[in-house]
Amino acid sequence: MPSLKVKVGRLELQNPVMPAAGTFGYGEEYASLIDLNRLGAIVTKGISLAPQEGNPPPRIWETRGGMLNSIGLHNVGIEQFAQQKLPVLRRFKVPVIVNFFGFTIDEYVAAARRLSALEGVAALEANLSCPNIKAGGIHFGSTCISVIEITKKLVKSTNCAIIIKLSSQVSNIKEIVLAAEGEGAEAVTLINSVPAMAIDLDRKKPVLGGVTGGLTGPAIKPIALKAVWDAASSVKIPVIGAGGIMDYRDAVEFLMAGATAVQVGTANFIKPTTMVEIIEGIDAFLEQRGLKNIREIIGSAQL
Amino acid sequence: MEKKTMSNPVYLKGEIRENKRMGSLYHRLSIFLPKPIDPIIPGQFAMLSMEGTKDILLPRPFSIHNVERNEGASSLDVLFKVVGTGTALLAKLSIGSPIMVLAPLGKGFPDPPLGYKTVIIAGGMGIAPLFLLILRLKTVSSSVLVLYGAKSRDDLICLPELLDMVDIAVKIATEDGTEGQKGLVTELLEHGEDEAGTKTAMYACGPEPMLKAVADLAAERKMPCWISLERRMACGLGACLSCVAKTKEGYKCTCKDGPVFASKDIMWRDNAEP
Repeated sequence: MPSLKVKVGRLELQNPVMPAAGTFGYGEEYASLIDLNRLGAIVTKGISLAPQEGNPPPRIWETRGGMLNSIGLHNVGIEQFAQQKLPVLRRFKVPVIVNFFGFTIDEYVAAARRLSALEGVAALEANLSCPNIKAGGIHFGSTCISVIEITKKLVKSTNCAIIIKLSSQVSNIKEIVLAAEGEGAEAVTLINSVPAMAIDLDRKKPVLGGVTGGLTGPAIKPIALKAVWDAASSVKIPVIGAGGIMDYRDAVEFLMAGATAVQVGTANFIKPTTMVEIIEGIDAFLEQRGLKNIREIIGSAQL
Repeated sequence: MEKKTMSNPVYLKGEIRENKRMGSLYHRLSIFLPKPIDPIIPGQFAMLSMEGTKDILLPRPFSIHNVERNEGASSLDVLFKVVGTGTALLAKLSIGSPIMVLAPLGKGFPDPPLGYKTVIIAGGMGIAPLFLLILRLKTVSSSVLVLYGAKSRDDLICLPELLDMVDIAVKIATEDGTEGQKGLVTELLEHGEDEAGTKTAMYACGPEPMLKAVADLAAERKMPCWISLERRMACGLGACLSCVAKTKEGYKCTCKDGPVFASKDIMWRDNAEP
């Protein structure tokens, strides 16, 4: 059996497959359908200091080859997460990566402090790339100056491994990931959903209640792959690839482009068993080629 | 003890046993499942998806219209109207076609309080989840009145089934007057079902303006009332938070906290969308 083990910063994962934040709830929603213990890690819905109501509906719209969402970071807030959601996740032996966000840098720091003090939090993934909130989110992830400031403060304020989740919608992804690496981020996740919209012809209005949203699904995979390729060639810290991964072949593409791990998002909605099938698919792919270790394919796509 | 209103879903490959065309736009799919499933609570739904199609991405939610549960297998019926790409693809499925099923999902209708009469209000496709409810209420309610309305006679796709049922009363309304009373189904409600101190509970599914009219009446007469909402969904499990409806406690997932809600908990807007 080939080894699928990877290291993401200080985290040792049994395989590189994890859900993308916001597509897997708080884990418990899928616990009766797949064995969560088989995953590389569990990544939670994005959490903030206070509960968030989220954006007005409609919140989703299917497009050709993709899906628009405008959830607006609807979440239960840190205290309810700590009391009700995290105890359920602690029952599984898989590392829990908590995705989080704030509307100001101080809120990011306060959330990171509070979350890192909770038992059972293996790492924190800072969302610097959500397209669906008016303040915060993508605003903090689009310039080197703000990525430097926020990463530095997060790393200083907690003992937890900090992962920075970034957008593809920046002028120079290489500079941005270098900024995160330089301030002590242990990994970067690329990409978040791509800002997008749709119009209802009859109502002559945008279809989403939040007006614009984020595009996910197969439509964005090539965009995500390019971002991962650029990032992986620039930094030494691990890159977690995300964006339109539907099956093991997509996952292997990201690994070959240089991703150390992959996140599966929209595909969880289409087929709840996708992540387990991807893990089995990667295993079979390595086996068929006589490869002993997943490290042999990570970054193996070379010019 | 409160009756159970949720179940553990399974994700299975099923097979189309029947795809019955009912009028020009309506279909009834019977899906064979090779495993037993949890008992279906009336009002619960299934997410259906077709593997291999590139035309649609997400599964589509459908109320469970009927169920057969056997030891090693089960079958589910869903009713639908062709309204878009997904339902057009489902309408073309032939007998033996595979179909992926995630079910049973969501909260179903609770039983009425002891000793209550029940009135069921169905508007158009809203009849889909109410068929199993009628069967249930026949066993727990002192009387069952079904008010069934649609645009026209051809849209009353479950009328023969309803008229075959014993121990229930059925009243019909069509907007064009081709069957029953001419007008909206909610106009059939103006006859004082809860008069003379008789305690009555209401159950409704249909277009949102109809649901709001029923909810308003229930509030006015202080009757217990449950409604089933329909929303675009992605996961069906309460994970993606796409299908929310506005309630007195904030946005709630139609897939997990619903699709059945107590009508008094829903915050309606002017255009009747919660």
